[in-house]
Amino acid sequence: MSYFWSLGATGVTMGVLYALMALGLTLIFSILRVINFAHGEFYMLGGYASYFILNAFTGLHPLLVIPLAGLATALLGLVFELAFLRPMHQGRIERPDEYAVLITFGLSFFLLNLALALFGPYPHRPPSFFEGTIDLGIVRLSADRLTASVMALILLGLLLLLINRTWLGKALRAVSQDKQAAAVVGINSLVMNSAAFAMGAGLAAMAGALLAPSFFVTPDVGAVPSIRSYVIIVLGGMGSIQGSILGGLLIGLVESLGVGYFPDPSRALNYKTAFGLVIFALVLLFRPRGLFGRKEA
Amino acid sequence: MQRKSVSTLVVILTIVVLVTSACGSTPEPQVVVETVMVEKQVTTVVEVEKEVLVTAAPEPQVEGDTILIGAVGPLSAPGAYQAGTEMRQATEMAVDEVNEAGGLLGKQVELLFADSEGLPERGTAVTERLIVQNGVVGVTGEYHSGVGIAEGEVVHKYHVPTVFAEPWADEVTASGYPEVFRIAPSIEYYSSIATNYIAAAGWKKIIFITEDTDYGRLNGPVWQQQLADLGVTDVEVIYADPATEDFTPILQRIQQDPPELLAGIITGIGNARLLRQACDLGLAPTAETAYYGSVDTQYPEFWENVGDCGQYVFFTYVGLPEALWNAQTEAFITSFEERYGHQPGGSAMAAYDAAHLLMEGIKQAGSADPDAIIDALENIKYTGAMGDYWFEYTSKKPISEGVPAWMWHQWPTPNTYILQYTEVDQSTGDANVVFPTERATGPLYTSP
Repeated sequence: MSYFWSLGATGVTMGVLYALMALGLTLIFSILRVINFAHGEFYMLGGYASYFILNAFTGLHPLLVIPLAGLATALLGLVFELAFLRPMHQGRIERPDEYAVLITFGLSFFLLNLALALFGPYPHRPPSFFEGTIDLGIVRLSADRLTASVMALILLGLLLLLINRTWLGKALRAVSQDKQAAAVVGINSLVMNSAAFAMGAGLAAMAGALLAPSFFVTPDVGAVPSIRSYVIIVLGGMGSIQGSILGGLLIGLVESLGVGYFPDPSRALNYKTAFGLVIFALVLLFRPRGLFGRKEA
Repeated sequence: MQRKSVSTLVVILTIVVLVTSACGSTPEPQVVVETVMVEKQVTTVVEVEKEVLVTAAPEPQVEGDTILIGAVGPLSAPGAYQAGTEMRQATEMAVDEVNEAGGLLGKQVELLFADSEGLPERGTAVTERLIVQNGVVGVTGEYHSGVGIAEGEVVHKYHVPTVFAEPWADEVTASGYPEVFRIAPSIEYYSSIATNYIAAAGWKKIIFITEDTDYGRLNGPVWQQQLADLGVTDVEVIYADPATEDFTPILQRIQQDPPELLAGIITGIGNARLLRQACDLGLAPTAETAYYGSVDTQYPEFWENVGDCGQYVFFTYVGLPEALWNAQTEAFITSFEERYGHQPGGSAMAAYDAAHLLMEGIKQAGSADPDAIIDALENIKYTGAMGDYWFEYTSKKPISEGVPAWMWHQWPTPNTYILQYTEVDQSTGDANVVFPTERATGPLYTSP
């Protein structure tokens, strides 16, 4: 039985981090109606930001760097949104859908190769949040992994507070639901676009910074998390915040338990992504709009 | 707009699903276990080859002031670009040294290094481009086995002499192609060093977590077979995508019945991730479970990523340990460190020697004629950073009865040693050479 709980704990700790990453993508999609194909690169930049800040300021506790990494990447996201996505929402781009796909793909390739040129191909690891392992009786987890998970949970809580209790959150939700109606009550959707893109980039970066001590950072480290995030946001329902959180947890659990109980251990790890995709397919079969997807107006 | 975006997403996800399915259904590679059968295949290949008309290659570019040398290796994902980057650096160094010494055939050598990305189709394309478009005289480099096999077909098609530095698959030279030479160990040879060491150390229950690539899929069954021949039968192989982030669930599964030896045969970032996560769980390396790392354990970045977990890890080192360095090795290491600011790994050493060997072959041939270069390479005696090079089985001494097919144009004594780190932050130079025992500088195994 403790084996089951061990796998479950691993799945939940990872699931929370998956949710944080996916939430950034959801935020961007629900406001801008753009799939950000550079989301994995923001995750990667968060890891590098954490690594280099901690190298430059050796006295800093690694946990303090998480918001700094998020902020730095959010600023980069803001600049990108203002320079390349705003013209699309101002009607200055002839084929905005195709443009959005190409421009975010372009950003992805650019950042990946820039990181390779600037930081080199070798994996780097920022210092641990806390050294050692934590034994919770039925489950033993690395202190880094547990800390990352708890931090992700706190960030998710703060984000929900922001979305539900602040003027900015209400404005974002209003734009997400109906841009024209939001404009009528004085909400500038262009400003909300910028805010959402910056926040989305920042969330991905914080997920990257939280996981960097466990998974390290290389230029292509964001590839797998970004693909998983696309799965999670569709599973949870495009644009749904609670759907992204539940989807992240579900994928984390299914991956962990799937690897733990798949009959053939030699292939169990290889099928890890496939376990998540089975759940994804099953959910879409019965709920084509995802777990919390809403009908189009 | 949303519908279109969703459609795009669905298309992408479909591709992901298809790729995942394709990976999962990768057929098991056929492993030849009977030497006699291998020889029959090679004999057939060699016989057929005599009759095959080689595609007319473009004239090698030796007309102007330069002579062009092609090199291939992974410089970007999904290839092992850490290794590829230092291979490029070492190859550039070798070419610069030859140019400083007066060049080749009275001309300066120009190196064209192409990124094969760790993908066979990419390796095929860039090698063909180097030959057809650029007109290189010879090719060197490569790291990945699957890519090396594909590139071997191209250089054979255009009859371009090639000295491979790092692809290990037996098939690279077992093809019997006259153009292909290799200084890296074959998988059978490389594996035999590790399996003999494992048997000598006395571990009986072993789990390998190996990467799900040509390299890993070829390795797994060979290791199992060799260990079975040595009387070690409780051996399990688990395959993993080398880009796997989280090994924890499978490690928790292994922890239910821990082995005496856990081996991580994963190149790139996966090597350090696997070790770190096994260590975090308290699974390995411990007094009960030893840990065997992949070749990437040799790189200095290993310590930054695994910290204290790296102590007591052992690994196969393809290169010359410091205790066995010759004058050329000393000169290479010193120059490399001065030029690039870090110690070279075994891949750099191999790339450096392979490039020099190719250029020495051209020099001894005295022309850019492929047949003359191949003939020169078949008769070469050259001392490089990793030792004295020669090729035993050539057109003048074909593979004979009882000799494995991969010995064709193969350096017979590639440097392959087992090293163990006994201290944190130890360099490969300070690590104990623990096997083969006649070259050992420390005890067979030091337990935590």
